Amino acid sequence: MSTKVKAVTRRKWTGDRTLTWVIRVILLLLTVVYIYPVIFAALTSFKDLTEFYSDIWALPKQFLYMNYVDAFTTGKIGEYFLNSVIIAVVSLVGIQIISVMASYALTRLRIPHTNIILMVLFALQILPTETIIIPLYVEMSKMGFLHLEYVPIFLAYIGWSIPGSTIILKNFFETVPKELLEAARIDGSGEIKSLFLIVLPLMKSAMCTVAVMNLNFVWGELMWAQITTLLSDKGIPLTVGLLNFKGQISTNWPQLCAAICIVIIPLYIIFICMQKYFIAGMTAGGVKG
Amino acid sequence: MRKRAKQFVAAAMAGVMALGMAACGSGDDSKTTAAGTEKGTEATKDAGTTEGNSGEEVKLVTIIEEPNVEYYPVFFEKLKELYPNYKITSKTWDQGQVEKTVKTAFAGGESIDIVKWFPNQMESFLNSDMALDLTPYLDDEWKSIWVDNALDIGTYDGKTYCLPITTVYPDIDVNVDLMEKAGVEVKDEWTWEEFVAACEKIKTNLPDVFPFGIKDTRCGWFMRNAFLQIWDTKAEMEDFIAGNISFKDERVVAAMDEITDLFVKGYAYPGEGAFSQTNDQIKAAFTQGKIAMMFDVNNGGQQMHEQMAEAGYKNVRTIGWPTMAKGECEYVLGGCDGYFIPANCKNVDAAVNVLKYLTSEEAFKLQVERGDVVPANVSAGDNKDAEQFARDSSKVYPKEIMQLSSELGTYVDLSLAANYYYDKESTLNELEDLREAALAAK
Amino acid sequence: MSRTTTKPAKKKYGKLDKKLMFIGILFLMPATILVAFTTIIPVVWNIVLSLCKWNGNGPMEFVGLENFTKLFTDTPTLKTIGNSLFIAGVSTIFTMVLGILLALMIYKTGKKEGAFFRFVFYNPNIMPMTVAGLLFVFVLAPDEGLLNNIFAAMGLESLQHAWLAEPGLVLWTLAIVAGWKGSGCIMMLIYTGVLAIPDSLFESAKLDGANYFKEVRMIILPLIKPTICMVFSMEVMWSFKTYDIVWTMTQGGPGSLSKTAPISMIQQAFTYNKFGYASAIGLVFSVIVLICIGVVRRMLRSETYEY
Repeated sequence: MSTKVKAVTRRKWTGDRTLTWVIRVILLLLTVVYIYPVIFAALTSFKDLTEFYSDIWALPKQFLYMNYVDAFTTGKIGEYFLNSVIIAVVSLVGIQIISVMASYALTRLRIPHTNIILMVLFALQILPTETIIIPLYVEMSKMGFLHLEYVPIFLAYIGWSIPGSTIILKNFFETVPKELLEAARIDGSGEIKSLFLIVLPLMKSAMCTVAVMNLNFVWGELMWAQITTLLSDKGIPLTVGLLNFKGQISTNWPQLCAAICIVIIPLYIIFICMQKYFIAGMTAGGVKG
Repeated sequence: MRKRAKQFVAAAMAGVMALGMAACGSGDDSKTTAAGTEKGTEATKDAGTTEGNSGEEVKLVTIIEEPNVEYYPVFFEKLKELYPNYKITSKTWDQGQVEKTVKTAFAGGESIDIVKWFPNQMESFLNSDMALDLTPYLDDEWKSIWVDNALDIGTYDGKTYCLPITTVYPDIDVNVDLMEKAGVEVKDEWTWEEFVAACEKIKTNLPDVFPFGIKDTRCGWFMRNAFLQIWDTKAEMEDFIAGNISFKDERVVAAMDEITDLFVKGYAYPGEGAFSQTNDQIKAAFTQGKIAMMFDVNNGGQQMHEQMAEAGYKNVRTIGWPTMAKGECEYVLGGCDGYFIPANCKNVDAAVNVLKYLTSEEAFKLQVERGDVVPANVSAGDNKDAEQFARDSSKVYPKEIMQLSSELGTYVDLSLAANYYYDKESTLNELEDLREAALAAK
Repeated sequence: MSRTTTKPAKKKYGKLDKKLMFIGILFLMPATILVAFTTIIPVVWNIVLSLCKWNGNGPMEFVGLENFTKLFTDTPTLKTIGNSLFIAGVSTIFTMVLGILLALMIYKTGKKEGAFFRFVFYNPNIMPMTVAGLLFVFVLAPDEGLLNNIFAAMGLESLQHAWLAEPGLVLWTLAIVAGWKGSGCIMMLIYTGVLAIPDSLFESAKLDGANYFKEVRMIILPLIKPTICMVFSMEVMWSFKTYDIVWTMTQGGPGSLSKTAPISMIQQAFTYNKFGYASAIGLVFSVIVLICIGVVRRMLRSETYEY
């Protein structure tokens, strides 16, 4: 590598291009390691159970789309899917609005040691969900939230995600040049207006990152969703529905993989759609200088 | 300025917390009332009956249904016909989640009405009074469905909490084709020495095939069976189960050494790492003909035979677990699946009615048709394979050293075999500590 | 850190401060209430519980510090905390290095490719643990596992191992898999941090004739230090929360060699009904994590750059 570095400095343009190619090759090699689980799940979803056990790595002999049909018909995937979408949308909007407000206020108010307070709040969640949920469940039960559809689920998701999201957003709020905000205030534009007109457009990429991370959590959480929907057969999200595919004596892996593919495809689509905002964030950053 | 903001935030937080804590506090009150209803079963009983008769909707939640098992949907259809006013919500049973979900719901004062659990492992719910005593409801007519003494397994201090529905015990699925190739004659029952000899023969004659495979969580079953079998008399065994014989007793140590030897000699698939094979790995290896014998449970046998037939091994047989018994202790470990009603159940009568159906002749017959072994007076029907999956059901001994305390139980079941292999001395010490702690607690 | 520079400016707008404070508090309210409801109260409840004996039913019995004194003599449980620390340490370092490298490499590629690679590397995060666990169990299997077969194909039989079964290896393996799974998230955060650097800084570097390595060393790394610091703290916390990954891959085995603190807590609470003791383990564990995060932050502390 070190000799290459020297070469790069001598012939800048071609050297830079070589480096890009080297990076490309490394990334492509790593891609195999990172994409393999999806390919594995997708391939498995087209097999039947005996085929799966007789050679785990083999390609499916024929494409058994029956697993997908079964997943939809026996697993009530459609209904669960809708529930998951509702929970995810409400939670994400809630998390985003509340965390943006909180992180903005924290940055502007300059309350001392906010970072430490936030970190402690965040780190307190190290207690496994299992021990947090008993008191939370008692609270929800007392307040009568338990018998409402969706409400207990997204309240908890929003509450749990706020500290982490606020930390990330605050970190990026601090990179917004102070002069921009100060200038806005001399102009007399209100705090809320300056938040929406000046700061948020600069924060697009950070907000997307937070949204993607939270979506990931909200879409995949199991324990709390399972406990709060324990007494009802309504409002059950996908993750809980997936349990219907995991048997004790034997798990029908191909069917489970089909169900999982159905669960993660929407995440992929959202992720791909969001990609363009990361680029948008980059150009917006250019304004700053 | 900043200080005032801080104060305000602090005050607001304190207020919110006080509110929340008050809510938690009042949670405790309701819990005691829930426990109260358990004592006054008679009172709830009356309330339940009037509710049931008036045709009002009764909501019930069950955690018993397992995926890919045909008879549960039939049960729920039937229950709908029998009790049209019951609205039953069926939740999927998942062993890893049951204790968490039921106990969390219990703490919140919400009740689940029927839960599937293991009658011989009710300690986990009983030491915090979370299971309802079913004895008052069990009349002679209801009891007559079970074979003699079958209810004992879910009975603690004379009170029956959990009703057994299937008999489960370990056995071996054998790939007979491979055994014949290795020149081993398969018998229905093996002594320990015969089993070891068979392993040795397979290893020498078929170098590519491993004599046996066992999944990670089942390795402890070797020890558990040994603990039942190595005694000269039943009295001695019961003494051990009561915790009065040390784990350092030479018979116990000798048995554990013999078991560990199987792994030292590399009979277990895949040699190094034999304690860490998941169910899927073992099944895959068995399906691929890499192992000759697979340790299994009796109620998984039928499915395994079908899978092996599809994979091209039509000649699969299920035989008994090799026994170490020299004296009168011809026992195997085993247990049951069963149903219990949590102590804070609000519609006890409705739950009992559902339970009565689930343990009726009709329900048991449906289970038998699918290859389950049931502890009930129901004929096996025309399922000809059923015999080999029920052979040892009369040998099942329901009490084990594991019941001394949940800590000891978990250790023996999940950690003992591997820990003994890696570090014999400290494992023996740990076992002794757990045994003494359990005795001290009693 | 930059407070000193803005302080005189603040005095000038004294009138506005009141309004600013009001809005600030208004903005903080919903977050405060929800966090109190979902995190602080449960944690306080856990603290109270850790001083009590409670079997999940009936009243709690105050026992003082008994649970804590018991914990410090309970070697098997202390061992599980040690295992957690080990996995967290190894996986944090692995994830951070991998995540930062990936972010820097992706930054160097074009827009479309970048989008593709970001998607690919974030992918393990999306995969449910059950499937990832199943896959890795088979990849790492001693007999027919992909990894051992690759080694065999390369003629490196001496490198073959029972990755999830050998006492000295199982924790390393779990840590690396956990690190791999988390690296996509770190990559995203670091990448977002790099995006926030003004282009003008790069342009001036280009004029100076700096190559990418120099750019990374002189511009990117110093400027994203606050981001790295934040991500590091979060990663330390995430890496301690190793429940699913261990549970799906080894269930704490072989024996109890890879049992981590969360597993032993859940067992204490839900199998043995020792909710008080479980809370005590949880709190001691949380304090250890907080100390780790504190140490990490102190090590990385630096002045914030203004640009």
